[in-house]
Amino acid sequence: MGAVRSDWLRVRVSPADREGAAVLTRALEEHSLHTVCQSARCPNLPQCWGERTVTFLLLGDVCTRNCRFCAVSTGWPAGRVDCGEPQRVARAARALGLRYVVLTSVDRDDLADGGASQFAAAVRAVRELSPDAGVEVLIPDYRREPLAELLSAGPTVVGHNMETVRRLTPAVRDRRASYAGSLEVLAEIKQHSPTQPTKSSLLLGMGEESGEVEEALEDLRAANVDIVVLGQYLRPTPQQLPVSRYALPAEFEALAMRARAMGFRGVVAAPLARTSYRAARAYSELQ
Amino acid sequence: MDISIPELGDVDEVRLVRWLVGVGQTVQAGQELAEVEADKAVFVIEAPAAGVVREIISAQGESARPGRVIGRLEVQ
Repeated sequence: MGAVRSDWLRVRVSPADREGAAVLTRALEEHSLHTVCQSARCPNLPQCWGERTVTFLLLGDVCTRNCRFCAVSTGWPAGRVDCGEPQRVARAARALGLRYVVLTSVDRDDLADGGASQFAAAVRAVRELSPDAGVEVLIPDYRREPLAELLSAGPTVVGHNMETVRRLTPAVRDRRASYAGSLEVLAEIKQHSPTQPTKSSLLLGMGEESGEVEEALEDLRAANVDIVVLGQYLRPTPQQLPVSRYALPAEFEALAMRARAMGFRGVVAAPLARTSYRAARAYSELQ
Repeated sequence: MDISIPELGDVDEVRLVRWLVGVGQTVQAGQELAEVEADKAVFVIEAPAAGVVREIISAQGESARPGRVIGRLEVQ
C-alpha cells in the first residue's frame, strides 16, 4: 500500500508551455532523439519543455540495468551504438537555441567503455555547434579509462546519482550498482579533475529515515560533491516501487538549509526537483 | 477552440479527475479548467484563451490519451 499523493504535486500546464513543448517535440522527432523527460514520464516536462530545457537520453532507450524506481525499458542492446547520435544532439541543441544542454544515458553494460566515448563525442559536438552553451552530463558509474575519456571532453558539470540512502540501495538500484561504488565514482572525478564541478541526487519517499539522508549528504560532501539535488520519489507506473511517504515542502526546505551548512555550493530541494531540473540555475550558484 | 489533454512524454493515459468549470461558464485566459492525473502527478489544464465553455465531452473519472479533445471553448 503506497502513500496518498499530496496536493503540492499539482502541475499547471499553461498554453505557452504546450506551445513550447510542441516545438521541442517536433525537433526531437526530426532529429530522431530520445529524452529522459519522456522516458521517465517526468511531471516537469510541460514546464521544462515550455522553457526549452531538455535532457537528452544518449545510447538509445533500452537500459541494461533494472532499477526498481525507473520506468526505462530493460534489455541487452548487444553492442549497438548509433554513431550519428552525438551530431544529431548537437544539431538539435543549436536549432533550438539551447543555452544549457543536459546529456544523460541509459546504462550500457554491453559496451566495453559503457558508452563513455559516446558521451565525450556528444559533449564535443555540442561545444562545436553551440560554443556558448553549458553542457552537463549525468553519467553511469564510469571509472578509470572511460571516466577519463568523458572528462577529457570538458563537460560543464558531471553528475552521478546516489538515488537513495546506503541501506536501501540494494533494494532500489540494480544489483550491479552500489552505494560505495557511486561515492567512488564521484570522488574519482575530483581526483582526476579537482576543479570539475560535480553533482548528485537523492530521492525521498523510498523508505529512508531522516538520519540516513543526513548520512548520505555527509558522504557526498566527503566526496567533494558541489551540487546536491533532493526530490520526491514518484512512481512512474504501477510496476515500480510504491512511494513510502510524501515529504512535506518544509522538510525539503530544512534539508536545503542543512545541505548548504554542510558546504554544498549548489542545492536544489523541492518535491518535484530532479537532477536536471533548473540545472543551469544550480550551476550558476557555483559562479 | 478545443480543450485537450496535454502531451506528457511517454504517459499513455491519464484519468480526468474533475472539471473545475461548467458548460456556459465564462473563463479568463489561463484559468484552471480541469485536472487530469497520471501516475506521477496531477496536471491542471489552463484555458488557452478567454471565452465561454460550450461543451464538456469527457466526464470526470474517464480515462483519456494525451492529445484527446475533452471539451470545447468558444473564444471571445
